[in-house]
Amino acid sequence: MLFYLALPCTLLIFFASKALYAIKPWAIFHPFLLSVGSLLLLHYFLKLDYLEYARGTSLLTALLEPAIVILALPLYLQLHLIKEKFNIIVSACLLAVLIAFSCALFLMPLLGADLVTAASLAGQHVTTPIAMEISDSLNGIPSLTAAMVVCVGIFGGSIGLVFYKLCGIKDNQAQGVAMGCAAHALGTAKIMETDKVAGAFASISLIICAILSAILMPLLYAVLF
Amino acid sequence: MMNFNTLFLQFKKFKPVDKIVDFSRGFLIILLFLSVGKLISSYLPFSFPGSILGLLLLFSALNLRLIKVEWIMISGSLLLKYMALLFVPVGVGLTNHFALIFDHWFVITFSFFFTTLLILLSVGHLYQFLNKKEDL
Repeated sequence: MLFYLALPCTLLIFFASKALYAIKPWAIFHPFLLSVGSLLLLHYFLKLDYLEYARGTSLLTALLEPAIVILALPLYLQLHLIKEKFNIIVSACLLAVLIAFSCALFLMPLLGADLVTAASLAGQHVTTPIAMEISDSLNGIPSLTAAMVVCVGIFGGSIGLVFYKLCGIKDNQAQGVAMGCAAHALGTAKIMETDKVAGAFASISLIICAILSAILMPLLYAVLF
Repeated sequence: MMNFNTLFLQFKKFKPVDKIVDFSRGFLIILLFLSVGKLISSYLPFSFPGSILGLLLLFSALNLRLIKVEWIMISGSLLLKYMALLFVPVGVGLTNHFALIFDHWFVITFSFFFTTLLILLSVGHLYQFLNKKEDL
């Protein structure tokens, strides 16, 4: 029964959440958080079987990999805008990847995280499909990573501009790149509302950051652990 | 990222058959690149996600003009627009990991605030510094 209901229910809940977000665009009402939250509650109270739910929604999960491939499209569309700044963007993204990796895998175990949790946190700053691939190849928990990615994006997107003012980052290109590295697509969408230039830089840095993470993190992990 | 609304308005003017053809062509191209990426990654001596290889291949093909942007525009933007929906089942997988989250709630919250702010701060300043140096 759940097998047949899973997909229609998920679609219904997702589009209802999207409609609610359109009426009340509060960060906490983000469609992903709202629909995952309500489905989690449903699972908890109705004692649903997750495995069966996962089988019922395998169509959506199967589209995750094509969704990664299509990230080449925005990268291609933005590339001409930022050609001469390409080198500094890549160095900035490299720094972001190293910070994210070392914070998750060196700092967090000091605070008491086990290796599985730490590995799940390593990919939390890159866009969700790639973050899940990374989490998977570091033996983390992809579903925890996916939830963290969305929380990070909402937090980064809502605090970003205030934080920039506080610590003196005035260059709008720098604002965009940092936002793309730290808060991926959600932060990018937020900064795009106020500044188109920053938005373009954010969308390219989020993809470069994701590609670099996907290449470097499993490599570093294999060498160090 | 890009202006979806104008794109979809253009797309609406198509005839229904053209819409289906256009959409399936784009989607087939994406699947083709994905499968080539996966094929290559299965021959690599180390593990590397085939989907990322597919991304890089598609990007190079677009730059080399082997693939026209218009071919993948509609199906691509549709996929990008509803990407969040695709992660919902994965997110619901958290239901299996409640115990772990309750055990580690402090680390998880800390890492989430601390790393985000650290990246915003250091990347922002690095880029600002390098950008200024280049302008001089």
